[in-house]
Amino acid sequence: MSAIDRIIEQFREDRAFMECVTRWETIPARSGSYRDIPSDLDPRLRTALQGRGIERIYSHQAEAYAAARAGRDLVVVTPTASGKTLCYNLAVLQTIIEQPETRALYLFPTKALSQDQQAELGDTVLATDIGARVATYDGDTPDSLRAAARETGQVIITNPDMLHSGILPNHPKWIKFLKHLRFVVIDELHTYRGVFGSHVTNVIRRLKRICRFYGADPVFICCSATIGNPGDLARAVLEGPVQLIDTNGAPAGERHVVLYNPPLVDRVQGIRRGVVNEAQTIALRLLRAGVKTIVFSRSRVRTELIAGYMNKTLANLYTDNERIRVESYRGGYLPSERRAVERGLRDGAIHGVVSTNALELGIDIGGLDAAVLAGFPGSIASSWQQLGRAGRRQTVSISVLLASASPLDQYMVKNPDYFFGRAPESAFLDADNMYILADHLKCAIFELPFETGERYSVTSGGPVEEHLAVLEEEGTIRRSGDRWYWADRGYPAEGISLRSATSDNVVIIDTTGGIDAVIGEMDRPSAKEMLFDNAIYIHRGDQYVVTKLDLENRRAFVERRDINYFTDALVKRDIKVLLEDERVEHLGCEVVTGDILVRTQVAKFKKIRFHTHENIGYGEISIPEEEMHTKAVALVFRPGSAAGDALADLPPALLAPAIARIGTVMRNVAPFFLLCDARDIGIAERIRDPHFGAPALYVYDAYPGGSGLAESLTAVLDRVLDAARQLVRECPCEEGCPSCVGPRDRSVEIDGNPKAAVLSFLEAWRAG
Amino acid sequence: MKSLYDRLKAQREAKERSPSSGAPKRPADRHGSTVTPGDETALPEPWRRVADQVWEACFIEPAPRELAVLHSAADNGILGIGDPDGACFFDTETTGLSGGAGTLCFLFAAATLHGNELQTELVFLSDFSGEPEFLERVGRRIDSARTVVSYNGKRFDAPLLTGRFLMNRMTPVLRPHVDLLFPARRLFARVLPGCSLGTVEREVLGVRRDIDIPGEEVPERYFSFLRNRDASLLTEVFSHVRYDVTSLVGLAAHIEGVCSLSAVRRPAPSAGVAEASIRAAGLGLGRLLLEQPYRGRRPHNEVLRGAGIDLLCSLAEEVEHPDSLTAAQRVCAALRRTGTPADLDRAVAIWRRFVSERRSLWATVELAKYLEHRTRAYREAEELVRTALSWPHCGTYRGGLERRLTRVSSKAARR
Repeated sequence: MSAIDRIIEQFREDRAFMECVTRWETIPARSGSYRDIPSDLDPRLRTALQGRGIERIYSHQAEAYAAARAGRDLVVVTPTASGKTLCYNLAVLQTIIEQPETRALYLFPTKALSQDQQAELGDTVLATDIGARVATYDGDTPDSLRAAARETGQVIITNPDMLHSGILPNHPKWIKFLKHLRFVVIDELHTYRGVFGSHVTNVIRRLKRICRFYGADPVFICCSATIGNPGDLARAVLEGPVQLIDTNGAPAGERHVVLYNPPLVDRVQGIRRGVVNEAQTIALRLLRAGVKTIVFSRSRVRTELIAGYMNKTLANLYTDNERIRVESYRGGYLPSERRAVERGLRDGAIHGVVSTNALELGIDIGGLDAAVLAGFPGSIASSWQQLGRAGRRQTVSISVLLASASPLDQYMVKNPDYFFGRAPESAFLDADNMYILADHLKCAIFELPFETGERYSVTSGGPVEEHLAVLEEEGTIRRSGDRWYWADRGYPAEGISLRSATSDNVVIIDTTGGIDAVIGEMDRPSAKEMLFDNAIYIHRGDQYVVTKLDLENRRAFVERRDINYFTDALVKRDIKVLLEDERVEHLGCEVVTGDILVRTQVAKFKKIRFHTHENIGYGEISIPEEEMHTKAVALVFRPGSAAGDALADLPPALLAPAIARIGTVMRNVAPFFLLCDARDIGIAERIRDPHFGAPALYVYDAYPGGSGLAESLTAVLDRVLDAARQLVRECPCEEGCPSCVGPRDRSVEIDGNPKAAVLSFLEAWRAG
Repeated sequence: MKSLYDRLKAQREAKERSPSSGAPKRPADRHGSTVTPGDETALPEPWRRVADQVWEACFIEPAPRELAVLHSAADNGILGIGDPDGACFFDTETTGLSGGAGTLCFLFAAATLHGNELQTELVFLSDFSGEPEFLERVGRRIDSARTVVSYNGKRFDAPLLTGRFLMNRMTPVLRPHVDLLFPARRLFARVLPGCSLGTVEREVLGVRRDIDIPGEEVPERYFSFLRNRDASLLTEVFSHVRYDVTSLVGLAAHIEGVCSLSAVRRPAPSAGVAEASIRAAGLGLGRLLLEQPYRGRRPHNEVLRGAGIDLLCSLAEEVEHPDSLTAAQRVCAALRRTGTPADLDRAVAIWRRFVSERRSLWATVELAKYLEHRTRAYREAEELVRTALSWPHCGTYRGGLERRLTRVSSKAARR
């Protein structure tokens, strides 16, 4: 009996443990579906495969190989441990062997993934005499290596941001590469959704346009994690027919998925043990049983806490910490430290890792036997990706989802059928979004003059004449002969970011003992919340106190200190209306579009004692608030309007919950109509808004400068409201669930059923 | 619902309002009269229209006085320009300074020498649609030269032109390229506030420009011309680029002059400007003389290399001089590379002096390497390293020195 089987049996027999389990689901083992190694594969590649113990390949790998070699665009849905990289590497390497001038472009959403991929591909290539030249080309590539990468790299590994701002605007330098571009690999396709996906789709349009100019017509090979609509998403990004390969041929061992609600410590108040302590207890049991374990946590602080507690429990000089090594992993560490943890996990030197969702994406960390999710990750798709980190092809695995006290987490563990029955979320994007299209059209014209009558996107995309007219008036483009030319000294890609997150970083400098050493980095908005003066910052288990946050120079100075508490900033967000563009009566409420300022302020912090997590004091923070200027639409429910009256008819105790829940419904429904991701829009509810003097619901673009989503809500508002009403009415839940108005929060919503209130409000509003 | 056009306009206006957007304020004439394409305004004499939207002008003047230096340096000059009569001194003006596929070259200037005359030819693109013809004519100028000479052209002008050729499906014309920016940096970076062509020309060649425009304002001026078709807007631009290429000739001559003068041992004080430059340039000049093009293992010009070695050696001797350590490091690296016994002796002498007079850790390590690997004088190397370890300042060198000591000691013991 193996270690994993033993621990599963132990859990099963542990009454205290099983009392907390709300569902234990066993997913039976699946045998693999194999195909012969393709007959046209070069003997060297065949030998390389056999060298890795591969005598036959999985059915989905064979299908992907056949499609790519036949020149068909494809998307493969690839769970963990399904041999994803072979799906594209086989076709690419084979073509390189046949025609050495062949070039391939690999796009990964993050730099960390590119690094990992280069290592993986390097292994395959080294193992053979193929000698394909692989180069990473991103922001970290030194200038001295760039020219060589462009000239001789057969496979270039990069990210969409670099393609957008570095490669496409300088395409004449890439002529050799682009002329012979045969394959474009888009990995982690599911991350390209919403506004980010719309940007990336436009970058792909530009890439295709430049390829056409150089006479290249590459095949696109996409890989996606399990989402609701991988085929649709691929067709949206590539704007053409795409072969969907979603039958996974890889075998999988038996999987145990456990939903776990931590035990009550105070039955009267309904307080449960916290996820941090509970997660470390369960993870330690697994590790001590000899099971390789990953713990996912929802924040950077929690990641450090869980890893720190685990290491403290294990610390023992005489047993060499029980010979168990646990590391933390998150963004903000030095790249070399992250690589070391990844390597340690692969070669078995590290037994346990506590991570944020940074390890959710496909970084190769080898096989793991157990996953512990300290809290619901926020979406079903994400949950399955994290749960899926445990599981190998042959052996049994276990993953435990621990609920926190939040209503959403509690709903998930108390309604296991909902959790197990719900399909992963679908992904949407809108590449013709006016704002995004306008930005990329500028880049496209910069890259290559635009022919009169040229279609910016061959397969879809409406006419762009109106865009051109505005750009000409603005003076950024100029018509000369029958073409439009870029006529501005600027470099448009420079000012256009594909992501809402700022690339502005604060470096963290350890000044202990008079030696200044950079230990990590953090994005600017987070630095305000975690690196304020006197904050306790935990980095790889070590405690530091922040002596000075120098925002102007993007530096935070920290000093090692052992202290018995950590700090947690209290974040306040408010909205200020800057300008109203338009105010109309629409569908029984007042719809106001305009510019707003979303301000995030950290003014106070709590000091929290380690282990007990009791609050032992407060401190003041004085740093300027983080501001985002964006576009918003506000629905104002004034007395006298249909919506206002419907709201006024509710019992006063349900007014606040009803407004808040309208926001939740909006968040659930609007992305379908706006073709975006839930993260792309912000929602704020006001029972009495100071600017409008009435109850109001704001929907705003979570993207500096706006992304056009809020603005287009007006046009689809009636459909959104109808869908919302239908959703709430037809949802089988009693008092609200994550799919409709959100689970009831009994700590606040004491009297009355919030779901009924929302429904009656919507019905009355639409009838009025 | 508003039309897309109106919404786009509204979006743009909102962006201009927004304080967070970095959108630059347009000059007032932005929305002024736009002349329709094809409505060609004539450029004044001596401009000639040679194709649709393409113009050429030619100016002839006496060649600069220092030209003789270029002729005498033809075969073995430090720059490698060769026969000056076969060189094309060129510069371009472009629609932007950040490069990228959307930056066009609209003005090309080429200065060539014909006996005692300097001929400057300008090719001008008066609207984008004429680019293929424009490039064709630029290509012809480059094609007829044996070498091209520029200032920062290797990083900027040449790749940009190459890109333009490729984007117009034309074959780029390539010639051996001498970029004066690098030698100019060596010579002047430590004595001038900057190394822009303008600064070097003013401070070194003593040129005063009368009609000129700062380089960074050129793109905006060209865009104004495109909108208004008023050729007078370009007067300063044309003058600017002519000054640039003329100065290139003067600068090339100056650099060759300084180098050849430095080869004359202890030059007479009467040598004027160049003599002052040699003193001021010191380290930079020495490095420049050593960094000349090599043919295999042989330097392009042995005499100049010898002069560079001498210059750096004498600089290394000046204990008080702030550059003496760097000079010593550079010259010893160069001496070690050739590795002739005579060169090695010179290097050893410098290391020994740095060890005894300055307790130099760099020299200690170099000398220890030499003793260990070349002459196998393990005892002496051991003694040397042991002494260095007793110095209080050995800091980050300590680890390396200790490892070396262990190794050298064991070698000494084995013997």
